[in-house]
Amino acid sequence: MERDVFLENLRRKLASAPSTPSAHPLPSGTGVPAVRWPEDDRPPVDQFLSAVAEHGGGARVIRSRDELAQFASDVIDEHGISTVVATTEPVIEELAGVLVQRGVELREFDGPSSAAADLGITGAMAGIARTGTVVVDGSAGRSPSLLPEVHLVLVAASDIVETPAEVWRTLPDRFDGRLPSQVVLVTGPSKSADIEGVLTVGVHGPRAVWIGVLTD
Amino acid sequence: MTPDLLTGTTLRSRAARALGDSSLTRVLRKTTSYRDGLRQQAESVLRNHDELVAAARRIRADNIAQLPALLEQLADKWEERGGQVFFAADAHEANAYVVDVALERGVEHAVKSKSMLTEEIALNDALEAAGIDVVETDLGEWIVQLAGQPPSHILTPAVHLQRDDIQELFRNVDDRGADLSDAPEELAAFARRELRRRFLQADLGITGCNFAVAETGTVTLVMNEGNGRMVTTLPPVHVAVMGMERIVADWQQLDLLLHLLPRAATGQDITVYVNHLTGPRDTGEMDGPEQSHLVIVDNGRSDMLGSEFREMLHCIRCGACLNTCPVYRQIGGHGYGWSYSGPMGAVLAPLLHAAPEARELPQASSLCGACHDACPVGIPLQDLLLGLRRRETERQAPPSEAAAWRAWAAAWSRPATYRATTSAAARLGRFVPPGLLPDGWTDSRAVPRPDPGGGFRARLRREGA
Repeated sequence: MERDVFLENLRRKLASAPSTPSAHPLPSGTGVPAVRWPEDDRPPVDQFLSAVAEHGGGARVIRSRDELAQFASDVIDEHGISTVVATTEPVIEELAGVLVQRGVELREFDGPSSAAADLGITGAMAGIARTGTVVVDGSAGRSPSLLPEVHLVLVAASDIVETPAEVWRTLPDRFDGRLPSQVVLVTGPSKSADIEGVLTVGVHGPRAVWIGVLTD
Repeated sequence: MTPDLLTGTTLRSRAARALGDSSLTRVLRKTTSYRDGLRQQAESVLRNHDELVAAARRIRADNIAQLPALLEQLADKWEERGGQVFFAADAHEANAYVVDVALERGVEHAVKSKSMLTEEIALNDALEAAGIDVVETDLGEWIVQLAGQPPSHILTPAVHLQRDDIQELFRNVDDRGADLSDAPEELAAFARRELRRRFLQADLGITGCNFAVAETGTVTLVMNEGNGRMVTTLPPVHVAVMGMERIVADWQQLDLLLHLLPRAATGQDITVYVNHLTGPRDTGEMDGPEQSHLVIVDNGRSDMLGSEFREMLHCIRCGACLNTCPVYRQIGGHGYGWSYSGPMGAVLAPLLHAAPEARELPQASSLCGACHDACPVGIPLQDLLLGLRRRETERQAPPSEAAAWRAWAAAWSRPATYRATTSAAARLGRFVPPGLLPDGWTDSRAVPRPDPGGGFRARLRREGA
């Protein structure tokens, strides 16, 4: 149907609606109230680390290049990784050395077929302390954070905000009103409870999510 | 073809069938009360949840009142980003558009993430009729697709099935499933392997839309498994099908609703994935669909706009009203006979479904209002159910019955006629055979015998203070 005809029909129907008295009249007010979370005095990074654990992920604070190499190395051991795909962001290039040293095949992401690896490494534009969420800008690649069984993601400590509102309410401004074609918020590994309500992990997305929190 | 459980059946017959299945009623009671508890726990964590619900109700009312302008803005933004938009007046137009897109691209295999709207319009049937293979990829939805059943819950479609049912279904998928045990982890791992092949081979991905944001032309999908990311990442064409009411003005409003939806739906503070999509793959990006179509569907919704039932368009499809409803908890989704069930389904049925059988669904309620209490956008569902019952009664009741009710109302409005009729009823009632009452009144309840003492007033006069 033509857009104009469709919308004109809506305008006509809206105008013709009866004003029926309701036992539950609409509340008055304006604006969108802020969501009030419980008090938590801990620094955002501490909140973040415990929220990640609550949601089934793993997170570690990374203070140096050596710690970063150790982190990657631990993830490789934990999951028996032999192939890695990475989106090309500067911080990820630092990992190339350790991966090669460990005899792991490192591929630069260049399309979905390259993403069929054991481990996907990406950056994150932000973290959310309350929920242990990372915010991944899909323009660097949608599949490296999705297809591999394990996702390793690096986020700067200075990019961790306290609540989801600080991401959602600011997202258009962060991109001057023009969002990337995909932005995805990731909170822990893929989950399902579709079989008798029993929690199962890794149904389509990664079975494990490891987050490195990079301090300056 | 998804079987039609509604046509030619009655609420009573479907309910009787559900109630006769003791393993079904056991699993229903367990999962619904568990999920209802998770919701209450998650909502109580926020310090101003009640304030948020009240604001959400007001904001949803604004969204609906502004619908034409918001949809126009959404469509402009989506097109600006290289996406295509189609406005579908009804199921037929929506399905025909998606089939055309598929045929034009030579699509053989489509993968879908869960979308109740596509159940409503029976999109799979249309695609299959055009020779296109369609696979549901949400674990629960795939299970009911294999079982040849409609979903029994808008969020957890296979809530009525147990692990051995699912084991049986998966064993029949192909040889690889032959040795499967009934352990949920093993079943889920099997689904992951099987469906991964389908994602990689698919040339069309179909999703619903939890919320569209007019401000930036963004479609938001919330999910836990990640299939909605697969469907929008791997196939070269993405079609998002949205009910026209699933729209907000801006990211402030989206923020509010994204705090309410997962808590009400599954008791989560946030879903594992929140996927924000703005048009197709952008210049320089190496994955994501080349084409993104947004199909905006009316299919009866505009009639609700112009009616006293407009508030039902506020619904964000969380499923909380199902889990909390004493009727849903007993009879489950198939008792309602339609893809939408529980209180929200009972309201939507007579408004969106053409079958005369849909008009009795508002009777599937005790009007207790638990649904209103559970609704994260504060829809007074019991008022809407009552309104639909009134409408149906006015349509159906013979003039003689309406006249009888009017006469009764008039008589009992005055003390004298009230006294006269009640004392007459008390004296004569015992001589009235129960079968004299109209059909239905005594099917499930006994007629109380009149008080042999002549009623309360007579007793008060005799024994009074």
